[in-house]
Amino acid sequence: MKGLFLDNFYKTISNMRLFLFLILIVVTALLVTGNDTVLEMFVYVSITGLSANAVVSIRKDAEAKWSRYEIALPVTRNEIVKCKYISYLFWLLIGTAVAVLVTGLTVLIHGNVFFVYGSRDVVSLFSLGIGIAVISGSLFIPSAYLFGADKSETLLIVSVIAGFGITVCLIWLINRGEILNYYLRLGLFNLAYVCLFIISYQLARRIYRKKEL
Amino acid sequence: MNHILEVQKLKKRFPKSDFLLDDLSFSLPYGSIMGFVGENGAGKTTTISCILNMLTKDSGTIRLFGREMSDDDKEIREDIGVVFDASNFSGILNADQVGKVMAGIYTRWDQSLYTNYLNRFKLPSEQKIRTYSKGMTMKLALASALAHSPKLLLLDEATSGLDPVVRDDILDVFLEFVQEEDHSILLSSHITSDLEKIADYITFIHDGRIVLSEKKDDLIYNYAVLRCKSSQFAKLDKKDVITYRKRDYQIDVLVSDRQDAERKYGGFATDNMVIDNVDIDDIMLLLIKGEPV
Repeated sequence: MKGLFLDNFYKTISNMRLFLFLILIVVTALLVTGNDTVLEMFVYVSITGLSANAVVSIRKDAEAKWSRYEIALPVTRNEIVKCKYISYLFWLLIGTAVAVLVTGLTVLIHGNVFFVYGSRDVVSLFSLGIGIAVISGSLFIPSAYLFGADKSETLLIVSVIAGFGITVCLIWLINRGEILNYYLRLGLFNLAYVCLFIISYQLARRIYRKKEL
Repeated sequence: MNHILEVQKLKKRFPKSDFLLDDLSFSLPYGSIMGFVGENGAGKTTTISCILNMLTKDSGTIRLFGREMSDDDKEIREDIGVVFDASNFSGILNADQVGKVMAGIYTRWDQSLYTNYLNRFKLPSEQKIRTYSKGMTMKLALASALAHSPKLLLLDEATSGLDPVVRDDILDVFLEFVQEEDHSILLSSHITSDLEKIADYITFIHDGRIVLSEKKDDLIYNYAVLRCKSSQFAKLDKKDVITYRKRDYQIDVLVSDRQDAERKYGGFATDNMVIDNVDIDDIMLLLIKGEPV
């Protein structure tokens, strides 16, 4: 499976040049202006964008007919799907690390004018960013296997929009409940997207097991 | 005789088309090369896809190294090398990166053997695959298929679209590969001249059915085409006729026993019917375009 991960890694890196260039512009703007809305958007976009890049490789796999070829290699279909999810988590982690680094740098330059409630605001912001990214990925991977990699761009846009939508709905639902403790509500939100990710993985495995290539 | 690959009564239907692989049966002995011949859309790729579990067969049995391969059978796949008609690696990779990817997949990956093949094929290891020519990408695919020392090579149109020089290089590699007694190759192609050079067996597929599977030497030396007029055709023993094809001024008849045909139809009784040698192309055309008796 190491080879599959490496293949995915190379493809993700090659996807990333334009995205990294845009990120660089935003980071420069952020460090110069210290605008709180830009910071918030940057956290969401860097986490979601970097992890989304990892799964766009599904289209590259199909274009090069790698997805057909890898079935003939000594790897199981389950491992192929697992590799996509691990790659997704890996890049989500990288995206989070980048976001943490840039946030820290911004606070260092401009002082803490962004987080009124201190660490609670930081945890919330990053939970939200990670949540949107995880939910978007959870929707995208099985649907790309189901509907075909040729529709991956459309599916990715729909998944990210739906990811935002589901996140808003989840937060609204949790806030409607009678749980008063803020961190418990946040924990519930985190648990919800982790569950969605696990369900998505099982679903993708099931779809890919029966997929004809 | 032991077979490295056995396909028995393989059936595969596609719900959205009329195409059907219909009771396909053939066997590939150890130490041999089988040419899998047929026109485009005959079912060659579908058959290979079923062998490799890319497609789910409806019924039938496929045995590789004596056992059926499930998705979890990584061990069997370690012994198989595959080359399709296009490079299966993303154009953004280079040969060096392909080697690293494959080393992380095959337990028996031999990096020095891979490097030897890259050198032999004159493939620059740091050049992006998207800048390779068709011949170079096929050579890279072959190097990747061989560097884990497989026992069975499954090649789907691996020589199509290549110039004669590159094809000749690749055919040499195939011949070297089967020097080992337990190595075999299934080579699907419609370039019959390649198969005439290297194949031990030829299996013809047409419309999802195996129409003929024979030793190549039997086809070349025992099979023949009778060039008949209508009156001569009428005199033929229909048991001798495998298939026939009406042309403008003659009827071409495929027979499996040249000597018998010469004895029976070469004399004055049949007005000295012409009996010609056949090549794989002739046989393929007669099997595909001809009519059975």
